[in-house]
Amino acid sequence: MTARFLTVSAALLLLAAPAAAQTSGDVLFNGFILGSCTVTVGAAGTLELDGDGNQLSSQNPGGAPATATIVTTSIGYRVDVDPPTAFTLEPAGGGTGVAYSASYSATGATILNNVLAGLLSVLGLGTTNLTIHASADRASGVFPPGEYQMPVTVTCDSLL
Amino acid sequence: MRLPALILALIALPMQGNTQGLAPMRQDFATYADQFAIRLTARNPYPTAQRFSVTVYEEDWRISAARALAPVLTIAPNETVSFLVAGDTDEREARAIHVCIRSAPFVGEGGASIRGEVCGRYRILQRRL
Repeated sequence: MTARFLTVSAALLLLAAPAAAQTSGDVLFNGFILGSCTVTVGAAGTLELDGDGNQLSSQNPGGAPATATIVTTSIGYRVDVDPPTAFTLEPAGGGTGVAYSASYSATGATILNNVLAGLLSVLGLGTTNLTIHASADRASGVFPPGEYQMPVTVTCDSLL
Repeated sequence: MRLPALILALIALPMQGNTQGLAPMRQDFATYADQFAIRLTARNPYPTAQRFSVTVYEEDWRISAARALAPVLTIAPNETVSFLVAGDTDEREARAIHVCIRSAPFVGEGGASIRGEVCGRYRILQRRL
């Protein structure tokens, strides 16, 4: 009698077990985002001559900063702004005795205020809006008329 | 009758073409040979076609003897291009290089110009049989 009861109980358990296991199911979605950094240049900026004629700067009246957007999808990146070292285009004598400088500020994922170009800054995660000012200062005399070009490079690179 | 539980694992492989200027940004590569070649992907995030220059630096930012097989990439708007960087290995077990892609200058008024650049860091691991 006991053996018959155990057999029936075992059969009932076998029938019940699959139903209990099927009450819910998981559907898994796995995703993987590769760490990345994107630099997109916005406006190129405008240099204006000051009233004395010896400074070309984006901060003079009429000038405008350059802008760039940096998007990071992970931490571990930094921004570097290479200051100009020379005009890449200038009239004769235009680059004589000139000192170059640049600075940058950031809003968004990274907050920075007037960092000198050449100093590295760690980037926050997400979108950073960068504004860059550049200037060329002549020690003596005025800038001769002609076409000038002064490059600034915004670099995102890996910390490690 | 309930359907058997169904487990779906949808694995999204790294999408190299969607959002990055350069991908991957850092990775280790192993080689058993006395040369190495790594494949990277550059993306043009601009709405017009752009030319990007590719430069390879050693860990201390000296110009490397390793080089991109195509040092200038012309990429359609919002498109990606893969490119190869190749070089010789040396006696070092691990060596890091930087690969940078730099846009052509965007020129504004009064002579201002700005370039965007993204640099990735990669380790070349020398394996020996």
